[in-house]
Amino acid sequence: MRPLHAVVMGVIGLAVVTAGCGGAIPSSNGGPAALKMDGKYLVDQRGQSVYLFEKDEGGESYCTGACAAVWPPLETSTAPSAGTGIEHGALGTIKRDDGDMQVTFHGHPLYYYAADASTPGKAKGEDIEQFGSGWYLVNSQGDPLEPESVSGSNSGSNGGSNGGGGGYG
Amino acid sequence: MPDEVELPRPSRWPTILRAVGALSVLVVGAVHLEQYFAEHFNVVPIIGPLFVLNFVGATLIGLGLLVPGRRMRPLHLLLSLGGIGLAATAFVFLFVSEHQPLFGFQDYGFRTEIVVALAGEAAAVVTLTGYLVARVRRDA
Repeated sequence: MRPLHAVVMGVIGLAVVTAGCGGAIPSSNGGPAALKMDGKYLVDQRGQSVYLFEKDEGGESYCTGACAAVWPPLETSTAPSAGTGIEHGALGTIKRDDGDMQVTFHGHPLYYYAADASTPGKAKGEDIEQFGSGWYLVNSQGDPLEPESVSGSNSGSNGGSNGGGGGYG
Repeated sequence: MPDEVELPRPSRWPTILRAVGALSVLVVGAVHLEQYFAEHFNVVPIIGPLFVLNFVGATLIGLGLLVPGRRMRPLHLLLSLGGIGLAATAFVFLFVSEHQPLFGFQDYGFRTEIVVALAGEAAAVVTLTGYLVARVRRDA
């Protein structure tokens, strides 16, 4: 085999392998959802940070398509349950356009952030602008968390968590 | 005076199919790059970097297929196989990921970019397969 052909075959092999992942994006777990406070902000039962989207209004999600791929909605198959530090009445659900049920907290639809998947217990999505508006962690009152209050708020409790990234697997 | 012998003119179909296939593969790569930058897939672990690799592979294959010349034919055959493999795999995986998690990830909705990607992948498979068949039949 000529060297050029060997290089081409290598590129082809790499391209075929990577092509298979070309359409894949993170999914939310879709099972029964439970939420709790972890320090100053809301997390799911595995310690995975959840966020609200500032653009959402009236209990309706404005994050679909590519947005929902990067910010997977926290979906549930049953009524969500309240854990430590939150009132059960603050939790609810909405029906998304695709028919799936998404968990809400104080009326805000909740989302994961794809970039958190490889760093369980982290909150890389706090206070960033994507898809036309801001994304924030959520405090116990259902309000966006002030960015300066995030650092050090839950390092102890998340450090030993079992890894919210499991929700993406 | 001897009659002039007119040689049969070679069909242009293989060249056309190769060019269309190359453009289709380039479109597939471009969609992945667009999703990486414009739609923030750069933040998605593993998948984001793979989108870039998809773009790189598709670009090399597409541009290689567009280089003319008889000496390029063996390379064109290899690149065509690569293009078919890349497009077919991406098509199947993307389609599956629309309906259920694949490797723990799921896509949401047949937005325009998804439709363009699926169309480009289908066109690449059909045209490059046609090119391979035409070449093999001509060389036989």
